[in-house]
Amino acid sequence: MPIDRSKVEQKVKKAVLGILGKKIDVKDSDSFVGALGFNSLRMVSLSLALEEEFGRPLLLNDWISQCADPHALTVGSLADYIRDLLIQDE
Amino acid sequence: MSESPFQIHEKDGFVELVLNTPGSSVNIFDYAAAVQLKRIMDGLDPKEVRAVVFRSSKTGSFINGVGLLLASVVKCVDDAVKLTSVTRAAFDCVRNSSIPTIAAIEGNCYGCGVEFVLNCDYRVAADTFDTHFYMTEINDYLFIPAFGGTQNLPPLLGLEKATDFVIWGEKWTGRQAKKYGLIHRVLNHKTFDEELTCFLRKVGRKKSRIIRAVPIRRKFLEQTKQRILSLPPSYQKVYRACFDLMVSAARKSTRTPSDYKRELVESAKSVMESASKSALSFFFIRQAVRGLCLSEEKSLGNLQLLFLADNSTELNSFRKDILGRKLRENVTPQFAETGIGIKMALRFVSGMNDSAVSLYSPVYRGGMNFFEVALKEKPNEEVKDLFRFLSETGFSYVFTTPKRTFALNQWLAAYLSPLVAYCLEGGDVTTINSSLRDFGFVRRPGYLLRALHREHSSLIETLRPRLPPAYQNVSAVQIVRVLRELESDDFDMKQRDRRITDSLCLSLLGETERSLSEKTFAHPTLIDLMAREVFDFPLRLKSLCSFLTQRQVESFLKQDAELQALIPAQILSSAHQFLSRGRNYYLSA
Repeated sequence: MPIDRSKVEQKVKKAVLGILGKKIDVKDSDSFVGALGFNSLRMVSLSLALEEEFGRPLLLNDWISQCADPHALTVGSLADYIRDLLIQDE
Repeated sequence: MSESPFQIHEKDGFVELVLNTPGSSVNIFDYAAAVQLKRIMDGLDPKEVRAVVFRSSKTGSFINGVGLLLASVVKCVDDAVKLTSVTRAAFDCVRNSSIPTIAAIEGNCYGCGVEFVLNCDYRVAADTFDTHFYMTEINDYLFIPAFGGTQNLPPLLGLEKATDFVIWGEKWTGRQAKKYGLIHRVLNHKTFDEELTCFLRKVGRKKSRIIRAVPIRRKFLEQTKQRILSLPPSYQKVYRACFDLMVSAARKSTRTPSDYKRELVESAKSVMESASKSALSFFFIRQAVRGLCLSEEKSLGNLQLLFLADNSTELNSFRKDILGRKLRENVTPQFAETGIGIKMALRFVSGMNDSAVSLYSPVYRGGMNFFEVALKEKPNEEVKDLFRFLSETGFSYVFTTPKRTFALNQWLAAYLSPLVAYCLEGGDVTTINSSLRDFGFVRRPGYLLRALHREHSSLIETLRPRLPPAYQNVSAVQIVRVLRELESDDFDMKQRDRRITDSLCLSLLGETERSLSEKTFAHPTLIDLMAREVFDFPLRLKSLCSFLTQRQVESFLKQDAELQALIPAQILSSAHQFLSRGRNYYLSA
């Protein structure tokens, strides 16, 4: 079955909102380090929340180390990364 | 808009900056903290402010680190310079301030937290169970400190203690930190504020900075170089570079910006090494386990612990150990048959009973602070309090829901059986140690065996079925003889046998398959943490479950005929079962 990018994005945003504990409009371009104020510990909480959403244990270190600038770690880039992993995993 | 990490309190000319990282159970000196601190320090008037005192409002955490996001994304030296610039500027503001600065440390102070407090004129710390000092960088992540640790510690501690602290990863209590010269004063936690006020009065407006050359023993240099040579080859470069930086700092009586720049450059180079990139991922595993075990934001409330102990010789040392860790008054441990509180069976020798909670450590006698917390069902809030107590007292642990025997016994047998089979086949311990060292193990099996409880009968019972059929009938005496042989740490620079590490990995895979399918372990990160803490599974390979990918296991099985002499058929069939599922333990590339 093809992986639907928008569904992946929705799940990522749901996990982010769960971590933030408040209702805001999360955008694809939002940077975890900048706009969302995530530090490395919150990234770990996010990986556990994503596991709930996708049903598989997932560590985010590979995604983080691919980026050249922490500000490029955006909601959209995470959704792309997870979509690619799910395609490979099929 | 996010909340500010530092809260500011002013009284009688003293400015108290209290760190409270938003949304986190521990303090992190992150980007937001660095920006805010620089702004505050720049705005202080030396004529009006008598001293700046740094404190934490989080129980058990002063500063746990700078946030490894920075290290994870470094691709070249310039990245490191750019990414650390805000933090370094904040540290410089503290170091160069004309106002006296004091770190009043209550709670753990790790890695960059230690480097931060070195910029303060004075350091005082609480004498509590949850105040430790530890340099995480090289020990946990295989990179060189970036914020002055290698330059500021040797003049303060002397080269030898600085080496123990930075390179060999000694973890110090407040009292030890005072003894070795890292801090100026240890304060009683019950009267911390009063004693701090007295200390501040005494300090007055005096600044304090010690930079001096320290003596260096030639024999010590040689011994350290030899010890570095005993490490896995892929780790030696970073250890050597770190030690060189510290030796050169110990020789100089002044410090210039170029000294700190040199450290930063070496740190950036080390972070770019593949071993360090892999080791950094272990941070995520460690923290994920923390997330599974603890409720975020909750600190330790009133806690009554009732240890129902066996009569083993370890009990007395454990009791002394716990009581010697200076517990806060809200934590009351009791060693008795009856009483109020979280009841748990404390076991150092195998033998599960019907307790809902059992703490098991067959390696405690050897100084390994690791416990299996065996539960009948998934952890409730009461058990989570116990986890927090263990975390804050400096113990490492995983929780399990074992069926018959403690999970740790099964894992010990899985680790030791291929090595025992290799010796029974006529192989020698030197080759085992050399092969494991090359693979990335820092500790030899001998370290674990010397730590292990001397009562071997249950271990032999668990181990025997994991031996290949040819050795399943060997006598207990023969197995004990082999285990004694394996206590040797000797290794050789040349002898290797790849079958040793391949069969070991497959044996650990077999146990991983069993642990997850029987749900003894609720999550692969728990297995990863145990494999790291107990067996020293190599940091350069990320973690056991990350390393055991479909591709990796396939490559092991290409030579399964050769491995049959060291592992039984059921282990090989577990590996085939893993391959037939077609999925790795983690969703990964």
